[in-house]
Amino acid sequence: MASSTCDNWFIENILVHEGLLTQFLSDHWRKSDEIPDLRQETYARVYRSAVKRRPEHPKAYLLSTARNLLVDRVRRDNVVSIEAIADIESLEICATEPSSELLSSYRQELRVLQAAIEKLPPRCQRVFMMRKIEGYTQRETAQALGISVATVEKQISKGIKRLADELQRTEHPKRAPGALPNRRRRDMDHD
Amino acid sequence: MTKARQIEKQAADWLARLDACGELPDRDRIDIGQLRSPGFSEWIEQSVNHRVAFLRLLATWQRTNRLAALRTATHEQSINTPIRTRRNLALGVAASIAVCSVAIALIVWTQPVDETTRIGFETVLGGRETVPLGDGSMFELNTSTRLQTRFSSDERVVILESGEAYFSVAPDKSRPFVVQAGHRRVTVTGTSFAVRHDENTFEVIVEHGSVAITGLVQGSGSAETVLQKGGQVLVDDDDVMIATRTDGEVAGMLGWREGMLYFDQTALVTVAEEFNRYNTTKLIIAEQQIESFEISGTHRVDNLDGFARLLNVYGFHTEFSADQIIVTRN
Repeated sequence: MASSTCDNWFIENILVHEGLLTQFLSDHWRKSDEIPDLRQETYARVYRSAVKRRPEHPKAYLLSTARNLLVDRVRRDNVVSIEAIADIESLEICATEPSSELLSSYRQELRVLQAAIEKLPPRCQRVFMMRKIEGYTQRETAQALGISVATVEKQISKGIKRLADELQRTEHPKRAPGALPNRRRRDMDHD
Repeated sequence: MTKARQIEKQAADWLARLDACGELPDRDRIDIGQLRSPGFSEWIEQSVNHRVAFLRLLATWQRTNRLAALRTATHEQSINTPIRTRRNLALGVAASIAVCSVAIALIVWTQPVDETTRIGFETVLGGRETVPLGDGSMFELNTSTRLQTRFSSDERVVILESGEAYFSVAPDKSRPFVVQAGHRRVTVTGTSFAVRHDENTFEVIVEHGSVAITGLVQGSGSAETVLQKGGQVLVDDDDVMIATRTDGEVAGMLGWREGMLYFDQTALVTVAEEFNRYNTTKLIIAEQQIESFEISGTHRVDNLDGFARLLNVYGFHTEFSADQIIVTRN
């Protein structure tokens, strides 16, 4: 049922909008500690239906799925406010796909990554830098840093969760092809 | 922990485990169905929530693949070197880890090309940045400087596009260190020196060791000019000057590394030009007659007020406006 092409579609068209989704959920749901559940459930619903048929406007579909989920929750939890339901139901979700303000350059993306890595606790940060910048395997990282492979694995697990929370907050560009497009030196971006 | 957070933790543990088993290559497209770690496919199939949680972390993991562009040693060098010699690399790696937070701040672009990764660095007006490299070398960018590194397994090339940089080069006979400035090349094996290259100016100052310069003047072909310790070459438009400087003079010329400018009977107009490289407020010498007044001494690059007061002591009038200091006779 689930296929790898759906996985890649999901990463490129749905997960890129997590910042928007989280903002939407926070704006319309008072209990902030329930946001990760609502987010995960929204994703699950989108994935299940996308396997059957891809939505034409992924961003709009994501947000209306979230909206419907909130309506369901409101009803399920027997929250009394009728305005709350009406409010949520009346939320206009744009049917069209306005082009979002994507991070404009490779350099900006690198800076975002760097800022996220710098927020990691020290040992986690070192492990990630060796693994992802220097390209050492986990085993080589353990040897170079003089720690156990189990510790390295734990740090990767800890770090990837934190990085996801941090990085998923911003809209980011779809995966780019390998090299930069051909550019004359003068045309390179200056911020 | 909420249910979602529990699942996210499981997904993170799975990702770390798959990576430990070498199942997550640095590629942008991974087929989850092909991942073979025991128990993983059962866990993924258990619930769509597991799958989306895992995809979310996988998306982040793949985004961090871009960080490989910041590697300063070549992939071959860091991966295929046997573990025993890798311990020496660990020092270099530690240095490059330290640099990543510094260097990333001024990296303008990166571009993988064949077996090398090109990295562009740039400082702003008045800026100064130190970049230690994975091989133990380092370079320092002075104000308004643009520079590119192209390190491969054969050579260490730095392209000084414009501006001024100081280099301290770790010896490596197998990989010459070359600074390319326009059509000129400065080749070293282990030494410290500075290069300046702007539209009309090219200058090299050797602190320690020796350098060989080719292409010094147009049409010099492969003829080499060799500079030893204290050696200075200065090409200004068409004038070529070669000199040997004392340790003290060299230190003065490299004073910018500590944020200091050193003048020795330097014409006022040249002093003003020098200050103007570092400051948005510009010194204007408004009268031709005072342009060649000689200034000696040491000054902080950014202390224009102090320098203006000194000019007053010499009997000059200084008028401050929004972004200028106009200097005239009193």
